[in-house]
Amino acid sequence: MTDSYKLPNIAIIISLLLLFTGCEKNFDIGLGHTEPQLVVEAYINTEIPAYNYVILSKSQTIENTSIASIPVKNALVKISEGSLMQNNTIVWDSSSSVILKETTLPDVPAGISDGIYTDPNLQTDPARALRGIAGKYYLLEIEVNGEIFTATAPLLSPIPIDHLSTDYHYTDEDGTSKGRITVNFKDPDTTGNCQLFYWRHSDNQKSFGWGSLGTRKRITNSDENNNGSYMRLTNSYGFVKGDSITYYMANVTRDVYNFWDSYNKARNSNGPLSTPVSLLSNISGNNVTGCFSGLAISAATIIMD
Amino acid sequence: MSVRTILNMTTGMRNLRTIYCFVKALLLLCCLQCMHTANAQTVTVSIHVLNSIHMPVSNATVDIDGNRMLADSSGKLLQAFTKGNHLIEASAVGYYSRLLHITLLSDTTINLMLIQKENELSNIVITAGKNNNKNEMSFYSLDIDRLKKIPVILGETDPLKTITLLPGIKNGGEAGSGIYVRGGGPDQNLILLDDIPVYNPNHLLGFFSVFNGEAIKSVSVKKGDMDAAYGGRLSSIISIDTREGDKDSLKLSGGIGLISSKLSIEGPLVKNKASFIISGRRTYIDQVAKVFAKKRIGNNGYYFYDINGKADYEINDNNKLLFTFYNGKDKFSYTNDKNNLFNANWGNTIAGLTWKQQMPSGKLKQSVSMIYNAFDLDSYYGYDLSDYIFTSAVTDYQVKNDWSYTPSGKFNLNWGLQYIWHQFKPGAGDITQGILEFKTEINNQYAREAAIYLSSGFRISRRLRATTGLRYSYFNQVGPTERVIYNEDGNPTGETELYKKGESIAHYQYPEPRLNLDYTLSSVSSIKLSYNKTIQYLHLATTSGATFPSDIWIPAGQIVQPGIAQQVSIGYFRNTHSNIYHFSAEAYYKDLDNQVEFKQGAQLLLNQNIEGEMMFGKGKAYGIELFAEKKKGKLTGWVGYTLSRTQRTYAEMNDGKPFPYRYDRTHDMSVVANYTLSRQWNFSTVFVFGTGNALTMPTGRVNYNVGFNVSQRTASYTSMNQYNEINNYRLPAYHRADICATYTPISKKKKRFSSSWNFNIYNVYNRRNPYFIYMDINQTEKSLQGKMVYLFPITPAIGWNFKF
Repeated sequence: MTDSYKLPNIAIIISLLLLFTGCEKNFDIGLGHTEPQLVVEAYINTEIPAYNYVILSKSQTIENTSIASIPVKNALVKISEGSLMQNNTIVWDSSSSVILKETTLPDVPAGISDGIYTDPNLQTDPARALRGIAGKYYLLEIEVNGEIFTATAPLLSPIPIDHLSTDYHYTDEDGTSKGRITVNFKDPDTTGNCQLFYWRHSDNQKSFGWGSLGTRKRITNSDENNNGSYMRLTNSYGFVKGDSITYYMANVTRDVYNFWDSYNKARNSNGPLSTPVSLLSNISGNNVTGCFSGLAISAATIIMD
Repeated sequence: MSVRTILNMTTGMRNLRTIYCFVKALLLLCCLQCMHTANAQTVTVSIHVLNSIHMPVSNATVDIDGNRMLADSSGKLLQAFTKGNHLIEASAVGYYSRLLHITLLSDTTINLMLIQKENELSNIVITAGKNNNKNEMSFYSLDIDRLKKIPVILGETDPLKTITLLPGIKNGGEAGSGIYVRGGGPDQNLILLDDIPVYNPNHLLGFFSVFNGEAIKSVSVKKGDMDAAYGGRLSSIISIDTREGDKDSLKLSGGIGLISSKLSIEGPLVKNKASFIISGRRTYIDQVAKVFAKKRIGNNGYYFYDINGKADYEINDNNKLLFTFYNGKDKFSYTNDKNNLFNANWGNTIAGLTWKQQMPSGKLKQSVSMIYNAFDLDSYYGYDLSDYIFTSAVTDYQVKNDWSYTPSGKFNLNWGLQYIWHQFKPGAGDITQGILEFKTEINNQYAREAAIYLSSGFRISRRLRATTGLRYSYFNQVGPTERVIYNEDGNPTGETELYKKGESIAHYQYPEPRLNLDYTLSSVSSIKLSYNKTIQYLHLATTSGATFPSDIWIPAGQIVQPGIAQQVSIGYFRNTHSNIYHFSAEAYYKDLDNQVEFKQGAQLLLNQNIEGEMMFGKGKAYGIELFAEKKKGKLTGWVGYTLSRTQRTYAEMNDGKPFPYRYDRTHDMSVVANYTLSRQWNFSTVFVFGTGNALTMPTGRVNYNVGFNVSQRTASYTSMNQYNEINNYRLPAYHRADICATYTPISKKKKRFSSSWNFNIYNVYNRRNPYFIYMDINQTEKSLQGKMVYLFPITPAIGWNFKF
């Protein structure tokens, strides 16, 4: 897993050295005004119907010192299913279209649920709720104030997890015994396979949303250097001894991997000596950013020993 | 046969035809000039300007019957005379001039010995910046004795910092590493130490250069009108020459400064024939920090050292051997309160052996050099149970042979060849986590680079002089290596291909024409025009934030194309008041192709797919450089001003639209003044002003990766900067003033020991020039604040130098 081999943040160490001679002061950067962007965080997956949702928000302008999200309400959000034909075109099944509504799911508390769109069937008719199917394509259509935004996400076949193992046990600073999880699987022989990793355990048992299943850093992997190999990828997150962990491995397309890879780089580009990083969006339209992620999920459970 | 192969053959054939026509024309001109020369009643005189210890006086002025000429850096001048009586006067800054009446009947060699004026302080800061009689456009030369008079940060004489006071040559900002010449990048300067390339010329991340003032004789810069003998870089040739040892007696010299000290020992190996000089410098920043900032720095430390060595042996009047050596290292260590340790060492090692030969007539010269140069980096990071080791290196082995034929002062011919074997070690890592160990090694890369060149300077008419040249370069990346195969989208396929030792991976060849025209308007003014095309086969992979020694040199290959530059310059030059004042105005336009940039957030270290992280685009730079200089008198100095624009265009960046290069500096001005009050006191000052560097600043904030804590009824998300246009922001303008005073005690009795004190104040009016800025985000308080880090407030320094 490329993240494990990441070298220490040399820029931070250099900054500490500069403290010897450098001084720092606050100042008004005086950046110009820009129009807010529509931010789309959308998922379709094969495992958890409730986690097929779309979050719409507006970006904050830089002169606004608040970093809180600005939800976008009253948007028209629709997801349709389609199939790839032999001539490489996708035929969309209009009868499969699902109109997502601003959520009333109990897991998403009122007051912070603005801008979150889910399938109403999740509460009225769960058996018919939107469910992703491996091999199918999904079309996301959004309309906000007359402007149209679209994205397409295929769902690949899930890659089976051979088994999970617990390794690298250690004692944390507070005396807690912890260990790490290694996921073992065979990478398909085709090139360009990419994965995202999520997990649920005691700390996030009562949580909702893909953003709560794991750390803020999205754990990713691609087979650039080891296509077709048997993979053993260790997650650096430490789980408490005795914790029950459900580990999800999502097989994703290259554009989704690229987005989350750019997200990981962008979340680190705030400090000094950092490189500006823009998100590699797969949403079409004017003044929009984000990703429609198709997650082909395989899951396994283990107890940290 | 594929279409690409046919196109390559066609291009190659066109190149060959171009070369053939050019060489044929050049040879014809040579024959005409030789015939003209043979028919004249002239003799050829080789003039050597030397000092009292038989060392050459660089760039001395030689006046022959009222015609003023300039000797070269080795104090030599070859000139054709009519037979008969002549008056020759040689002069140089800091020396008494020498007059000679001579009757010439045949070819001869004249040694002119100049006596140095003791304690003659600077009344000329630039000794030979411009000369209307020499075809040297876009060229500056600085004598080290004068460099030492210019105020610098912490009193550390630094030729690379000082040359940025000249128009068209910019630094990267406060204490920034990198030299940016006419819109080019920091890797586009061929930095030579005694004609040996130096890969990383910086200590302490660019605060200081690796060039020890105690060892240096002179520094020169050529930013256009490139000599055909040089290539491999697009923007400039920065040449630092070290001095030779005293052939007469053993001498000791040195200096003690605020953060470093230096010492030189030199003397004869064989009296008046062979000499040596060894210079060393070491900083004691680590020791100073432990005394003054132990709480903040603790046991962390940093230091650097430089060792220069040179030996020369004059076998006879026509043969000379020279050996140059340099080794320098930066050593950095850091331990935090959790006992996590970080160590890094990096540095250059260079060595060169040169044989210089001159035929008895003095008209034909050659030199043969064998060169080794290397840069390497080793770092170690220990964190909890994990250890990380990272190493990288680049090594060159080079041979070159240069010839020069000067049958008369009106014509010269130069030719030569060069061969370099490159070895690149882009990175190797050893990672230990607990009991498990992972080794990652990025495949080494190898390449051959070769060039031949031919150039000629000749007079077309009484007013018009031309220098034409053609350099033909070749580059071939070879195995053994294992290359990643990329698909059409530029993504790695997961497959690799193996290349055996010596097997060709990719090759390139280019003609690089050079042209200079010099039209004399009068005895004091001229117009010069130049054109050159240059090719660069190595690119420097560097992070945008800081030039850290983890920068990696990448050779041209199947995906990485060589960089190409074409530059046109035109300039007007004028001297007034008997050469006391000099004025020049130069305009240039430079076109750049295959400029490398790295994809945002690119992982450059230990990345087998580094080629996949690269983008290729174009660049453009143009500007006007104005320069006014006073060369003589108690008050000397110069004012330089550059108005310029530099931009880049990449299809994958900024929606394919051109954007300002990071170091695009619209206005850049330097004022340097030196005043000699008396034999004891000398004062100098510098004022610089420049438009702030271009930066990409965020235009908004995006919250993503949202999750909800159901029991606490809270949302979590990651907040990130949002960016729009590239380099859409300008740092505040940079400006500061420095002053320097040098006091040299004068003894009534002439003593072998002499010393001087140097008092510097850097940034006299305490301007807070930003080193970098960033946005500080507080996720808990949900706030953000702009932060500026600045480095050097008003900074005094004192230094003591001695000679024995």
